Amino acid sequence: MDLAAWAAGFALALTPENLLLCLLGALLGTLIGVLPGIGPAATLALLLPLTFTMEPTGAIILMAAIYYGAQYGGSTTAILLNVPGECSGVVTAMDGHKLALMGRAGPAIAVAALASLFAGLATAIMVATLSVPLSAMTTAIAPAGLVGLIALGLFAAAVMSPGPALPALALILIGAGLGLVGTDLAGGMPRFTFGIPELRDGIGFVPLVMGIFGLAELIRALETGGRPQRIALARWPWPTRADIAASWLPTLRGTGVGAVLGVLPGASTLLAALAARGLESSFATRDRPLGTGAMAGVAAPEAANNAAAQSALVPLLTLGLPASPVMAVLAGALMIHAIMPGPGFIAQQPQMFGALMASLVLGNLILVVLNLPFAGVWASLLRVPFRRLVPLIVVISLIGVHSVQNSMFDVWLMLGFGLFGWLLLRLGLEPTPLVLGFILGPAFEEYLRRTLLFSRGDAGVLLSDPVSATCLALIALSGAWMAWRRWRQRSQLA
Amino acid sequence: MPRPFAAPSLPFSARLRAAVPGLALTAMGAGMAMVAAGQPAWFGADVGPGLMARLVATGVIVLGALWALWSALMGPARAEAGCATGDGADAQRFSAPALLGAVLIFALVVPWLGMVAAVALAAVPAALGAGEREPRALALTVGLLVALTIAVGLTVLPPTAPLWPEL
Repeated sequence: MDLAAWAAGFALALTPENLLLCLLGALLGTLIGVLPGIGPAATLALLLPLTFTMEPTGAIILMAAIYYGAQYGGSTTAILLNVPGECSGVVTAMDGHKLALMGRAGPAIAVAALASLFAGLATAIMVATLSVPLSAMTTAIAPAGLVGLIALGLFAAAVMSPGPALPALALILIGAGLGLVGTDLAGGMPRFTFGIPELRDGIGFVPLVMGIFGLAELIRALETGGRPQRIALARWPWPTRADIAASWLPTLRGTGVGAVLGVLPGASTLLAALAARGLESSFATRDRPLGTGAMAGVAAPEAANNAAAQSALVPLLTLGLPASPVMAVLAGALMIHAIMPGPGFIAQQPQMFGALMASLVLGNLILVVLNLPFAGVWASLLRVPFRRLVPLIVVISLIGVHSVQNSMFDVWLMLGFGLFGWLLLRLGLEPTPLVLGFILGPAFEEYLRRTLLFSRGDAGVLLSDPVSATCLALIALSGAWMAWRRWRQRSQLA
Repeated sequence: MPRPFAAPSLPFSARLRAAVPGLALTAMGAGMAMVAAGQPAWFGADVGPGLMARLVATGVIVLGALWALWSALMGPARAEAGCATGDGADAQRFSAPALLGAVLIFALVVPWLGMVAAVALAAVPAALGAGEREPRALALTVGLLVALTIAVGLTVLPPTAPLWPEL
């Protein structure tokens, strides 16, 4: 996109109607991001009929604003309550909630907003200028390479999870197994559904995450008495210079990771957030170690998930490939107006593309203006005694779980996962990796299946593909290094 | 010569206790393997719907067994892994049955009385399980949650949400 196209895009996005739609979408997105359970995909699907009568440009601006607004809002509950509103919030919660417990929720929320803003602006410019070359890059990665990338992401998740890596890996696999429940996409037949019709669409992410985070984690906090009733907030609710210094480099790295991974079909905002956190683990943090309330643990995943959310537009707009359910709904909104996202989209709809890119910039600015002043207000929620927050979290989780599909079955699933998560905690096992495996497992299966289909069942292709071989070598080397380090620590203790 | 693979002073019962989480994972893996066996792994040279499930189940069994062996040899894992011990100052010993009971009440009551009444009934055990002991505060919490449910139900939720009893 050249300067003239940017100017034309801004002119179209700045019309009062489109600006209002952008503001409305950002507001609505923040609200659904803050409320756990009501995700952007469901909200966009619900709002789809409203866009029938809108101008196509206005409709796509509204829907895109809801999407990245939800990315902003999702971090708030993850930081304050350890209840991620969006799946990528699982990663932010690891350090963000620890910061909240230390009375530093305000700075954490503000850093999350600023990191998201930077990532949003940088990625909007990147999407506008590099759409076509980046889309060519993604098609160069074979399914075997994607198998390796996802395996590396899952391995990194196990290593970075709290607690020992070996049971974390096992829990990731259990999560991946839960992700297989439902209709087999290749054969169209139900599998592992035990004859329950509600399971044909698979186990919902929301009941799973609400059971494990909304219930089991709450029970753990109450049983151990480890979470103080009131959290004394730090007097200064904004990031200090030290916070900014600790977060600007992670923000840059997170933006890069998210912008690249978001382009890959099948790579989610969660994978981007995980990869960004994984990358940070190889750098020294300026304030505290990662996992104990480091600003880098908030800034990097937040930048990565926002960057990935926006660069996911690249495969949709250039190849017609929706990389996530939200992108699929966006594609649906375009098709309703007889606009086909795909190779010819940018050439045929330059005005709409320009307006969409401009709205990404405007939407991110609107979101920071909306969210930054409220960081202190959100943080003050923690002044409410914990015993009074617990019923609120339980009720919000219940309403959220029920509302996704208007289904009581999901509430029963939430109960089951709450019980399961609590039992895991009683066994001393940290359940977070299970959620990560659940999200990335089906994508792993899909690419593994394609790989084996192309190679006629020969798994050796995973070692001959350069991307896959590199990822598998990294996994093997890291695993061996970790085992050796552990063995050495033990031998020094003995 | 140091012996890195032995925790010398652990009695057998402690080693067995340390191995329980790994054994539980192995048992889960075995359960998954039994379920996975119901689907074919291959259709000739093509991948079947059961292949990934079998790989996953085998992985869980192997990793669980390794973890059990490691824990038995080296002693229990770090306490920070999250086992609830209930020794904190504000520990609520009955929070698990109370919170799980709140969800159970909600699930049972919604089809009969609707979401608003279900929230009111579920909020009571949730608050009690969290350590709320003041009747006025309890009543206020329930009232506020009912108001929140009505507000969210009327503005955000779809019209099909069962807010009230079906008459």
